[in-house]
Amino acid sequence: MSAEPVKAKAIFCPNCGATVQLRGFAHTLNATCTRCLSVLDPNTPSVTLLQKVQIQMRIEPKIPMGNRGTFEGVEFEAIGFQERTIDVDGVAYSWQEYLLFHPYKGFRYLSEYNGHWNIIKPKNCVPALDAVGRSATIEGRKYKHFQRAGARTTYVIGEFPWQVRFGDVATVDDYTAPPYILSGERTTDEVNWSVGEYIDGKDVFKAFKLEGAPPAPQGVYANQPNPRTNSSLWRIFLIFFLIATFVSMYSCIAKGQREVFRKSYQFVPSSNAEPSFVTERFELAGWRNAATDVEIQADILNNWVAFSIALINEDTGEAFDFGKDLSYYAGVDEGESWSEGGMKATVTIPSVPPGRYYLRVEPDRDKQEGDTDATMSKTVNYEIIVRHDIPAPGFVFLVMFLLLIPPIWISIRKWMFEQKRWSESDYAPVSSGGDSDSDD
Amino acid sequence: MMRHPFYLLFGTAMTGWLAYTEWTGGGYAGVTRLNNVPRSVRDNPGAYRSHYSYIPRYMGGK
Repeated sequence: MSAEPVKAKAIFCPNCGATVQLRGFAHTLNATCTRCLSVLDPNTPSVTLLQKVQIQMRIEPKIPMGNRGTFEGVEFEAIGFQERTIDVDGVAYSWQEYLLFHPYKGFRYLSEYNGHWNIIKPKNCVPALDAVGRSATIEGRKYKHFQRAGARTTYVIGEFPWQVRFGDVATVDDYTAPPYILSGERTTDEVNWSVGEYIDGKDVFKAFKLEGAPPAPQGVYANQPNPRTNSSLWRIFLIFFLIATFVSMYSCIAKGQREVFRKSYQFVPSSNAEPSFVTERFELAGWRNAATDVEIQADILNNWVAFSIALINEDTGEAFDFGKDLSYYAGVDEGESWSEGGMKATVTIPSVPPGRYYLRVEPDRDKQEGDTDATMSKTVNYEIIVRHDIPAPGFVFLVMFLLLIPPIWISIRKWMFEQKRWSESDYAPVSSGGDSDSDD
Repeated sequence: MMRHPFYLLFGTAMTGWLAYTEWTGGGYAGVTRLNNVPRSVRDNPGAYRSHYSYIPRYMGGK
């Protein structure tokens, strides 16, 4: 709804004689002279001078008084501006508040601190506070207490529906539930509650048709929405987790895992005969590639042997070449039995096409220091087993790990954002100074 | 859910990759793949030279 075009009432400042325009109609209790900043009572016939001030530096509001901007479809007019300051550990932090007025919709406030903007609506109801004041609930929304500070009015221009003076002090309690903020301003005789909603500075500039760009937000504000939303990301991860688990389990169940070859051999390390040989052919059946296991079992108690093996496709000449060492040592030492290594090893060859294959096997056992002739002449019995179309269950863990990286990363970023937010509160783990980092 | 289109795409690619790999028996292994191994290997296996990197070493127990 747009405000009807109405004429602003004008008064004269009794201090300097300047004209002061009044836009808030009967709501205006106090107004300030735009020239000398004196606080006036426009409701008395002669316009009473309430406060004369000496200001060293004038502040130019980003939104000029009298400008109109539309929020939620309602055109409000900026009629008042004040700067308020809190002191924390000897450091003054100031924010600006604009009073917006619509003849039918009443008042709104627009606050700005370091590029963070809030559109604020006064509340007539009182929130329910918990016993220790750590949370407050109003209109069904629960807010967490963020900060309590004594706010001092350090600059005023325009008009206000309350008694305003330079130097006014109120105790402000802020409760946050991003993107909302609940504020309670306590003076000696009253408490005023309001709820603000975080808005983008660009929207403010657009609403008031201001030139230029709003200042970039600095740091993280109490009710600034966290740009990292991870809950839906974790839900997506859960869906992919279930899909991956199903795929992996189905693969385990559906795979044939057929044993296609098994044969025993002997190897004498000291023998001068050519150790390498080829096996008879065997068929890796199917119409798609599949993983193939080659298992070697050898009786190598306190011994070792190395195998060079190639799985060769007889028709295409394609070969899968690998080596495997087997060693197994066991004994009793100071009454305790021990063992290391193993008599069995398996190599999984990925994505083997179907076809006719044979193995080229080359056992090897170099003579090492300490090896006796008896050791080298000892016969090693071993068995080779080939299984085709075996599942690779370990692969699913790699995929799970990769899927986990984005949600974990976003969760860390979200946590860091919240840490930054609360470092400015009364509940900061470590007291922080002014944060001038730009928000990302 | 549509707030994370890139993760949706990434997850779809990952699970698709998993399904394809499981289906074709793909994976990772210390296996060297060679082409055109001569048929003569069957007759003369000693002439074949392994291509994987293997360094013989002593593996004695304690």
